[in-house]
Amino acid sequence: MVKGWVTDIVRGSFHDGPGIRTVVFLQGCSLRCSWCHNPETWSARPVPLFYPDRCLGCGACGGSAERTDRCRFGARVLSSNEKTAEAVMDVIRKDRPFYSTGGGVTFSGGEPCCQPDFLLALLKQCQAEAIPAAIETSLNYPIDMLKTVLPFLTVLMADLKLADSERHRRATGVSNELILKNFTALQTVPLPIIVRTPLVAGVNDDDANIEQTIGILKPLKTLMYYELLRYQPLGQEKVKALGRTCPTFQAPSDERVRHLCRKVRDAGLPLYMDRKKV
Amino acid sequence: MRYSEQIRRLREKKLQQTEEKRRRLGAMDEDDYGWVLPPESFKLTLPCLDANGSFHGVRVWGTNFRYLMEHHPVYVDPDDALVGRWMFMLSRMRANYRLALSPFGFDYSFLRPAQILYDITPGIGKDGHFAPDYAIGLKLGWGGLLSKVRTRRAETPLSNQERQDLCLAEEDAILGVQDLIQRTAQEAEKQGLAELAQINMRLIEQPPQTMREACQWIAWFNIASRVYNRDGAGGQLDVLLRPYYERDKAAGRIDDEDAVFYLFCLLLNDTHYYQIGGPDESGKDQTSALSYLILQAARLLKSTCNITIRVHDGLPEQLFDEGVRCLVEDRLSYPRFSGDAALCSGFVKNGYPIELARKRIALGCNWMSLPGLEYCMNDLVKVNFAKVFEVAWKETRCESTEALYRAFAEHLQKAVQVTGQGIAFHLAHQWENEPELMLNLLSVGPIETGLDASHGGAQYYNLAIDGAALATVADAFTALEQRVEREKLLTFDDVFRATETDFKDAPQVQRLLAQSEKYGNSERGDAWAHRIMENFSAMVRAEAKNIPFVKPIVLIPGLFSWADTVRLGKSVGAMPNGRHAGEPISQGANPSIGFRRDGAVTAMVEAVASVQPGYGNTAPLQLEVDFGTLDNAQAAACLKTLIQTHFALGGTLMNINIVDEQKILAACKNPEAYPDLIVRVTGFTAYFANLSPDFRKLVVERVVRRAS
Repeated sequence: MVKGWVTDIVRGSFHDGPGIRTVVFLQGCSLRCSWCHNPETWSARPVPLFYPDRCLGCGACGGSAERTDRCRFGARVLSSNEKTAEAVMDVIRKDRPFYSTGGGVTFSGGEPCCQPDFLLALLKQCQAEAIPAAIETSLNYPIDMLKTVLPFLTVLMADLKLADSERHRRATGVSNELILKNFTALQTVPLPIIVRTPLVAGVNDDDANIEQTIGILKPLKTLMYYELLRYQPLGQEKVKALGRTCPTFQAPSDERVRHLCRKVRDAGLPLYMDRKKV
Repeated sequence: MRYSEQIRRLREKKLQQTEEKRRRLGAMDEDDYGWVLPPESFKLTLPCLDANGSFHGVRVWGTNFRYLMEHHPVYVDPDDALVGRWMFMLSRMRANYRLALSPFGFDYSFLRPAQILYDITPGIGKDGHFAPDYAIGLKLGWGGLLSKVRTRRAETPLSNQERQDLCLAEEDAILGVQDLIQRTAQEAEKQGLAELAQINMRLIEQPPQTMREACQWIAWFNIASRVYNRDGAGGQLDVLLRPYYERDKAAGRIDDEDAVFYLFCLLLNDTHYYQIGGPDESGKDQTSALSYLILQAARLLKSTCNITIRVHDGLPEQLFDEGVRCLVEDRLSYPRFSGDAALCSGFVKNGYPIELARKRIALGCNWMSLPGLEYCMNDLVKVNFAKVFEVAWKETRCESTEALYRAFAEHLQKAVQVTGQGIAFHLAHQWENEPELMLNLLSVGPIETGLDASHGGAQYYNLAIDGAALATVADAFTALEQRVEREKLLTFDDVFRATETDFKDAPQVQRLLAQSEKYGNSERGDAWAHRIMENFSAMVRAEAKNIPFVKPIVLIPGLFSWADTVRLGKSVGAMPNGRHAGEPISQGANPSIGFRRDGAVTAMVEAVASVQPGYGNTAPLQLEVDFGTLDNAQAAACLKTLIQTHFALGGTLMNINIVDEQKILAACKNPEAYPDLIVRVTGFTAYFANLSPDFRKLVVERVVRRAS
């Protein structure tokens, strides 16, 4: 029985692909984006988090960050639990009646391809049961990995944070060479693709980046739309719970966002801004 | 649209009237009802009062109602296509009136100890809550109804006091209505509104001939029945008005803009519950061009409104889609949707034919009714499961959840029995206490037989008993099973001591219990909820045989707490699900607030569909959805899927708020800055700003918070 590390399963999501979706968040990521919403997924294995506002001071953990097993109040938790593919499928199946309007399951993370065997087992089972499946991916892996998962997908959702390799490395810890190779490969893939860029002021909201990104996306024949998402500080509580210092980021101004939207529209790309069609 | 300016002014006036009600009366935790305030100087003393300031008796109700109608201020707005608004409710002019407990002229103190013990809302002396058949009135007019009553009285032997009295009281009621119509018509004439004056002069005696007259007739009945005892059930509006609309249109008297304006004014006049779409007796869908115009009028209204679309296989996708779009785009919490398949298959289990089941339509907060045929006490009688649990919990020194459940089930049986006894007492005396003078007129039987609808005059007696606090109690059992029996982290004694002190010195116990598995998020939670629902349903149905009555009695179980989650919660101490003493109970059939970390609407939709008692009454799904930044088309597609899936899984009725979490939180802080914010509190809609802080909090807490 294939097992994997699952950080969360969210049922009935409206925001992680078309229609109503079940989102399975998997542990592990190869990028280190400082503004990440899910920093607890960076490690390949579960990590302890501590939420002091939930702590009742019972002393069961003895103050040890590692003794998450002793905490009954959700103050000390592990970032993920080990689950069998079948256990995950049981949850996915519950939302199955709601997939009729183009919905399905979305595997997210972290980077879902960081657990390739587990992901593949789930994708195969979804296909066997005719459950539409998507992945939210950074595409930061060798092309063979992409080729392995593609036959099982009905939608692919890819992030592209920065088009320039060096800037990408500075912002995310890795260069984007593999990512760009995969984008090239996607030019000939007959699969609906959604590409998203989280806009962070001073990091990637400049004209040059968006212009280069447009250049990468234009050859994608099956691009459903390109989506810009304003940065939101959703990951800050988790960063603190991990015991790290929380860097401060800002979303670009409304004026800046409008300007970038115009650029994308003028280039003829179908555009969504913060999940709304522009 | 030709009427845009009038509509704008009418809407503005409605907001002013709403603000004035808030200013003069404070919070109102009820439907807006469409009523307006009387002039501040207006004073009225009813002619017949008991020494205690209340009143009862058939003739007294007739006399008082006629007097009230004869003195009721007239209301004419030159912008409006219709005249009249109601300003008083006779039933609430009795001393000691309480919404949950009406004055009753007959002593039932022998039932009170058990009713109090189990916090039963007995429905004794409660009125209305069954549906009229407007077709009867539209055919006869007030003059025809009066003739019918007088003929019946002439045929009734003088020795038959009950029937003579009812006929005389019905005459008084009609004469009172006619007087108000006449005075209003005169006022319209005085204001130079010749057409309105003419229409209303005709309607004093004659049945309506045109669509505008039919709308005015319905408005008058609504006004009169509100003034009498609140009532509130409308009808299948697209069928009732269709002949008038089609005749007027064919004759070139009106176009669709006129029709929409008349409908707008009818909906503005009162928030009665109307159904549109859905099958006729034979199963054929009843949607017509008028159904769309009704929805169009509702969209122009932008006020409180209670329209339900009946979803069945034959419903045109277009009407379904328009309804969903209306909810999503306008965010006014209407229309609602009811599920034909489960309602019909449930109702036929009571031994009725499917043709009758299809005629039983959504005409109240949670309720279905056969217009003009059925006396049903819908939404009046409630058993507070949480209080029943508390009795068992305090009495039983628990050894196991099984032992506790046995004690709970025994007390639930007693609670249902005493509820049944209360219904029997009500049926025995209500006709003398408070006859249904307005609804009798539009029912088949009461006038013909001279028997009040509550006393054998109606065709069918399908009486509702609703359970409340399902999730609160299911979660309590689930938490005990998990934390005490399975994990052995606590003992029953630990939990008992903690609940006795409202967790004062046991915050860890409280947190542990509150974070336990729940109905809606775990198999065990669901199993407890199903068990409670199934036991309750069986007990309710079996209790019918103990109610002596002149006609067969059917008791139909439902799950609904109305807006009483606050009131019912106040009587219950701390519970083993971590709920603190006095906190609200769970809403209707819904899982507890915060039952899942992701607040998944899909889990909610599935859970509520799974606890339907299944005999033709509802366990509504109260759904708050924040679609966040989805565009309207995407949101509508998702919502339609949620509705279709809920009904496919067995759901019966959906009350839906499409909310913007940020807006509702802001409105909670500063309600008066959002005077036009409409919310569906339970089955009814209300202006958010007019709700009490408790109720505003309730609505806000229900808002589904989506995970990142």
